[in-house]
Parts: sequence; structure tokens; C-alpha cells
Amino acid sequence: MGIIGSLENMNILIALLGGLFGTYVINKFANAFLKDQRKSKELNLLSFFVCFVIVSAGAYGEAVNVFKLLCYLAGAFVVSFSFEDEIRKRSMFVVYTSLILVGIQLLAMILMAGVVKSQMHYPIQISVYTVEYIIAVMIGRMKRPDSISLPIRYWVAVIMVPVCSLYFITLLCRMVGLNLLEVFFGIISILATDFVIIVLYEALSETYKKSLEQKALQQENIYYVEQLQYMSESYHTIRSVKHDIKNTLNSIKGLAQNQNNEKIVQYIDSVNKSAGFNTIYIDSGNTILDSILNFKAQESFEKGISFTCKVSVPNDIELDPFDMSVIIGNILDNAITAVEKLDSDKEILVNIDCKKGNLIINVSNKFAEAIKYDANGRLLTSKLDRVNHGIGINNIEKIVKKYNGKLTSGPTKDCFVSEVIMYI
Amino acid sequence: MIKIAICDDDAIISEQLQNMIYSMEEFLHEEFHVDIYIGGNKLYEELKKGTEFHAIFLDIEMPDMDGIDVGRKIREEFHDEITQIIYISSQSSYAMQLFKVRPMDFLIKPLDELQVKAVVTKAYNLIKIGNQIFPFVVGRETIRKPISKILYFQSRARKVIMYTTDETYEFYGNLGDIYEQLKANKFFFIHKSYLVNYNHISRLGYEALVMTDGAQLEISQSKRKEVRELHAKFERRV
Repeated sequence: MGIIGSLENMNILIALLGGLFGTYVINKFANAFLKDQRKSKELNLLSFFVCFVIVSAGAYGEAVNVFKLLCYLAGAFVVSFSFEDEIRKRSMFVVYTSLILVGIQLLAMILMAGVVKSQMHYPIQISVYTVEYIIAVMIGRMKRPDSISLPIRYWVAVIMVPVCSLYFITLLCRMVGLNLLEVFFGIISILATDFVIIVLYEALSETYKKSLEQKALQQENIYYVEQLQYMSESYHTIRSVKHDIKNTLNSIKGLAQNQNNEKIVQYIDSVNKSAGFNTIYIDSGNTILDSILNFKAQESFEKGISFTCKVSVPNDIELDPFDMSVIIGNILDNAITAVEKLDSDKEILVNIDCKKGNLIINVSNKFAEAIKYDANGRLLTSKLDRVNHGIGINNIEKIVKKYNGKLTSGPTKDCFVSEVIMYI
Repeated sequence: MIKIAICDDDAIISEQLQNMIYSMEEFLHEEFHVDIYIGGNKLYEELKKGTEFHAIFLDIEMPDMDGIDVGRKIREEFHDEITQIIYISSQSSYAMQLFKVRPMDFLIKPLDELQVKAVVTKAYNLIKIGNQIFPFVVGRETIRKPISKILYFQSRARKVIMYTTDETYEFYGNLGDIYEQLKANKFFFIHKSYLVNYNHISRLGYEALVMTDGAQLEISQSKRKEVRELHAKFERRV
């Protein structure tokens, strides 16, 4: 009785140890895969405790079965809730983590099957935990993928691998006729494949991020080229007017001598028109702001949107052209898309101020569609291509953060307002 | 009554602006007194005599003494951090020097009536808030100070040190109570022992700020986001 009792205690102890290590591994994985924890401390502690209890229950007993797998899944699932990240990334984390934990346990069981059970059980179990710990430390060192999210088709591809692997592993274990060594290497190779996929995933998100940056850069180049064209066009009109001014004045003089007032007015009107005096032209003296704003003003003008802009910013203030074109370009793109759909009130108001040494950008427009928010209270785009479009806002946020600034956007009474404050 | 000066070398525009301001009297239920000075020198001579204005509409491009010079004289020579300066210009491009004068706003010629009205309303509100009185007790004496003259409060032990544009006062009090009294006047905490007047901040960084008297104060880590939020809120155009 005493021996059985102490054996039972020992089992519980080992299970608790398993729970502890399991939770540690899950935590490490979560930190490697997911964005920083942002929810309350109490919630974090609670989620870890629940995870610990679940995983300990799973670790009780030596058999590796579906129950154990479910425990790991549940544990990881609970922990994933204390992290603020997209559901896609969270599910990936849950699946990968449980796969690796179960894989290691299975390998251990196979190892144990070869030795005398009662004697070698505990040392092997403890060495399994050590292996888990080492893997967790390795994973913890992995570079955290940046906050961009992959398009859904890539995500499906990446998550399918561990899901299938789990199935294969269970299949492998139930296969009759294979010897333990074959099963052992089978599992090893499946796990190896999954590790490779993790590495590829890192590379994939890195490449994807680069292509996004490339896109933003291209967009900025387009702004510049178009603005340059726009400026050279108006320069040429002004030059030709200058050239003609002598002739024009002579004509007016002639008309005046004949007291033909009506003709004079007509003449002046026609000159006014050709000199481009009636088109909007933003001239704050700050080349970077002017080029982005004029380009967008031109685009709005062509789409029948009235574009009112007030820029009160020092003309020699140093602004990063790339950052500014991403911020202002994206906000205005969104505003133009929203206003285009309206039947009336096609109007965009832009205010850029420099107050107490900081830049404050404010863009407002009327809007029609209902506005949707995601689980974290962030605005969702109404565009179909949600992933690509959300990049605009993500890019703004990333840059604004660099300046200790903040982007606030949302509906007010009857307008949609985007506001950026940047410490420069 | 609110005293306003218009300083422009163009008499027609000055009168036009004067009429626009007077037309706001009824809407704001306030009497305005608007003086016109043709040229920067004229206004400068008047200011030298000690004449004070609540707000000055200042043309940037003037032949003898331009708006930048006059603005700088107001802030640096007369140490006047309270008068609201509104720049007028036919250009929409502004030099960095202009911003050192901390103008309230800019108007572009030809003047747009709606914009003038918005600026006058904003100036009026700022002046009204600044003219309110903050009473406090030093020893047995009650002192009444216009809020526009208060820069910031600092708490030390059970005492409060109040820095103003002219003097420094020390009295028994609690910053929390003062905050409750002045929060509608754009006073806020940047640190648990510093309560500042937003209108007297000359440069506001994320981690620290500079007051109009040159004092540098640190914004505590826990207050930075809140201060940023207020900064955006105070500068929001309605």
C-alpha cells in the first residue's frame, strides 16, 4: 500500500512537472509567434494557471493518447487568449505548439517501450522535459515575425502541414507491422518537416513584408513623377502666358481705346483660364507636402471631389519624404475612395498644422457606408481585398510610431476623420 | 471689451477685416475695439507706449518693419506671451521664424469671411478663458491672478509653487484641487507634481516640454500618452 501510495505521489509529481514544462514551452512559443501581451496582468496569470492545470492533467499517466493531445491544444488555446494578435496567427501557434509537444512525448514513449518500464520511466520522462525545455529556449531565440499578416492562402498552406502531421503521427503509431525504430524515425522525419516549415514561414513573412515595402516605395515614386509632370505643365502654361503678355496687353489697350468693355472682360477671362488660376494649387513652400497634396488634389479634382486644404507649416521644416507620402498618401487615398461613392457632398478637408513643434494632420470627409471594427476595436476596411488594403493603415501606424505619434481615425457626427499627431 | 489691433500696409484689407470683426459682436455677445495700424512701425511705436491688445492681426509682408519683426518684438522685447497673434499673408508659405512667435493661426489674402469668423471665435474663446481669475491665499492675503498669466504649478511637500509670467508664489494647497478648478482652462498634469498651462507651452516634446519662460519640464512616462491625446484634442479644429 505504502509503495503504491508513493508511486502515485511520484506520478502526480511527474505530471505537475510535465505541466510546468509544458506551460513554459507554450509560453516560449507564444512569445516567439505572437505579438506582445497587452491585456491585464491578472488575466495573463490566470491563463497560465489554467494552462498549467490542463497540461498537468494531460501529463498524468504515461500513455500518449488523444486526451493528451487535446490537453496541449486546450492549454495553448487558453494561453493564446492573453495575447493580442490575429486569430490566424493564434491558431497557427496553437497547432504548432501542440504538435511539437505531442511529437516529443510520442518519441519518449517509444524510447521507453524498449526499456524495463518501472525502472526507467521517471528518468526518461524527466529527460523528455529537458528536451522540451531546450527546444523552447531555441524557439524563444527565434526572431519574432513582424506584425504583418500573410494573405489567407499562404496561411492555409502553412497551417495545413502541422495538422496533417498530427494525423500522420497518430496513424504511424497505430500501424501494425512496423517496428519501433521505424515508427521512431517516422515521427522524427515528420517533426523535421514541420521545423523546416517554421523556417520557411519566417522567410515567407520576411519576403512578403519586403514586397509590401516595395509597393509603398513605388507608390511614392508615382507621386513624385506625377507631381513633377503637373508642375512642369503649369510652368509651361505660365511661360506661354508670360510670352503672350505683351501681345495681350496691346490687345487690351486697343480694345480700351475703342471703349469695348465687354470684349476686355472676355479677354481677361480667357487669359485667367489658360494660366490655370482657377485650379487649386497648394503652395505651402514645403516641397514634400506640396507634391503629395497637389498630386492628390489633382486626382480629387478629376473625380469631381472638392479638395480644401490648409497647410500652416514652416516651409523649411525637415520631413522625411517617404514617411510623409505613406501617411498622407494613404489617408487621402482612403478619403477619396470613401467620397467617390457619395452622390453629394463630395468634399475632402485637409488641415496640416505645426503646433508647439509638432505636426498635426487632419483629414475629414463625409461617408456613406457603415463602419466595421474588428475584435480589437480597430477599423476594418470595406474593400473586398481586406488584407492588402489594411496594409495602408498598418503602414501609417508603423511610421507614426517611429515619431512617438498616434493615428486616430473614426466617424464623428457626420464626418469620417483621420488625425495624425507626430513629434518631429 | 476685447481690444484688437490690425497691422497691415494695405488700408483696404485692414478696413475689410475690421468690418468682419465688428460683425461678430452680435454673434459673440461681446464688444470689440479694433484699431488699425498701417505699417509695422506704427504698431511698434504704439506698443512701446505700453498699449496692450488681446489679439493682433499681423501682416507678414510689410515694407518698413515686417510681421516677423513685430511678432518677435512682442514676444522678446515686451516679454508678452499672452497676446494672440494671427498672421495675414498673401502667400501660403511660411518661414520657420514665424513659428517661433507662436502664432494662433494664419489667414490668407484675399480674406475669406468664414475663415476670419472662425479665427475670431477661436481667439475670443482663448481670451475669455485667459481673462478668468484664479484666486489663492498667501498668508492672510487673497491674490487674484488672471489665468493667462499662470505658467505652471509645482507641488513641494504641502505647498504649491505657482510660476507666472511675472512672479513666483508659494502657498498651501493641493494640486488635485487646483486641477479641478482649472482643467477647463487647458491645465493638465505632466507629472504627479507638475500641473501646466497648455497655452504657455512653447515646445511640446513626447518626453519633455519647454515653457514660454524657458523652463524645461519632464513628462512622466505614465502621462506621455495622455498628454499626446490632450495635445491633439486642444489643436483640433471643430
